[in-house]
Amino acid sequence: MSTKTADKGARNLLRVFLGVWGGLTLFYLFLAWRALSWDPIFFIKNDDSERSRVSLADLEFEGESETIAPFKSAIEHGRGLYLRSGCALCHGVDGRGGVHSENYAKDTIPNLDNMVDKLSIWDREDAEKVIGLLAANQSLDQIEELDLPDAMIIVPKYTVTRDVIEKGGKPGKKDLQGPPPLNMQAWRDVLTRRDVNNILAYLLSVYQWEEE
Amino acid sequence: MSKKWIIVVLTLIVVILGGGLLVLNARDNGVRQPVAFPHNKHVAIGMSCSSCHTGAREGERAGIPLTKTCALCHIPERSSPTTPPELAQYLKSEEEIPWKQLYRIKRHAYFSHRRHVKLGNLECSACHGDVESKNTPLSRPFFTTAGQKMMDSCVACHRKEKVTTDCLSCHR
Repeated sequence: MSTKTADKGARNLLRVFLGVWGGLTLFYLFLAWRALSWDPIFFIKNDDSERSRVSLADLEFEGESETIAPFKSAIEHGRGLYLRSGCALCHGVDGRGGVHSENYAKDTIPNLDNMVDKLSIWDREDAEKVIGLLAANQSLDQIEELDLPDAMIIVPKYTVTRDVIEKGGKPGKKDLQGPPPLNMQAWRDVLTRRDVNNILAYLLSVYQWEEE
Repeated sequence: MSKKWIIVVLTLIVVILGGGLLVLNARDNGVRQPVAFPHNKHVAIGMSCSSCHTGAREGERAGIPLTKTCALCHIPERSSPTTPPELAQYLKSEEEIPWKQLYRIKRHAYFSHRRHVKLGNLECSACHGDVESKNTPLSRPFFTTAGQKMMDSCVACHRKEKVTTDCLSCHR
């Protein structure tokens, strides 16, 4: 084999090598550009369903009012505590209830999505005012002049509810000789007063008001 | 050693290894859970998945409840609800139950439970199957091709629901 032929062979080999290497580099650069510039909205096609848009959505309060919006973080805190501390185990996700407790007088553990009713708050505006106070960790019984029309009823009911959370409660038995139903434990060693107020603010916020 | 013996020895090794792996697979002990958790009993009293798997609606990962979560209802000294001895042991020692993770999302993929459950309104059973009726804890066989099946079912569901199948919507 002559030197000339060998040189030509080497040059061709180098060309092939550079071609492959260049191609791979370009492909890699394309992938890198696509990954860096990728945006969900850009890749959702017109024939994709609305469900594709979940990738665009962020955690938002649906239908939140302007009054509640400033307290979002405290309500979120309450919601997180409600879910992760274990309240949802018995009282249901979002306070929807429906959990059966053996030998419990009422059969089903109380739902809490009607906290507004439990505290005898009849007006949406009043509920939002109470949510604001609780989200700011202002215990209703500590406020000297509470600007609510039914404060005389709301405050004692709030105190009783808070006490049940903090001190626990013994649910009534259906059959007195039967096994004890699931217990409402005392949460004062686990949750602070702020935590309890934030949970109550969250529970008040989940109430479904009828459209006027 | 003659060629014949080498073939015999190699065949024996393959048969023993293969048989052993088949037995392991048949016994379903790829992943076994430390406590015999019956999903069906918990669902039957009205508990929802996300009250224990608290991240299912809120986060990327569904999560596993802590021992203290079980302790809210299960008190070993009480007859109701009954506390299995292996759970009682963890409750007494206040140790976390070493639950084994069954579903693993590869590092090159992104999966958000919140997007599927809360925003997409998917039932847990759409991906996890009929867990609600199981009276034994979930386990995983020694050999599984679930990884590929999972990807196939993801794509099939995205196509069915006309949700984007762009690679980068899941693979980051």
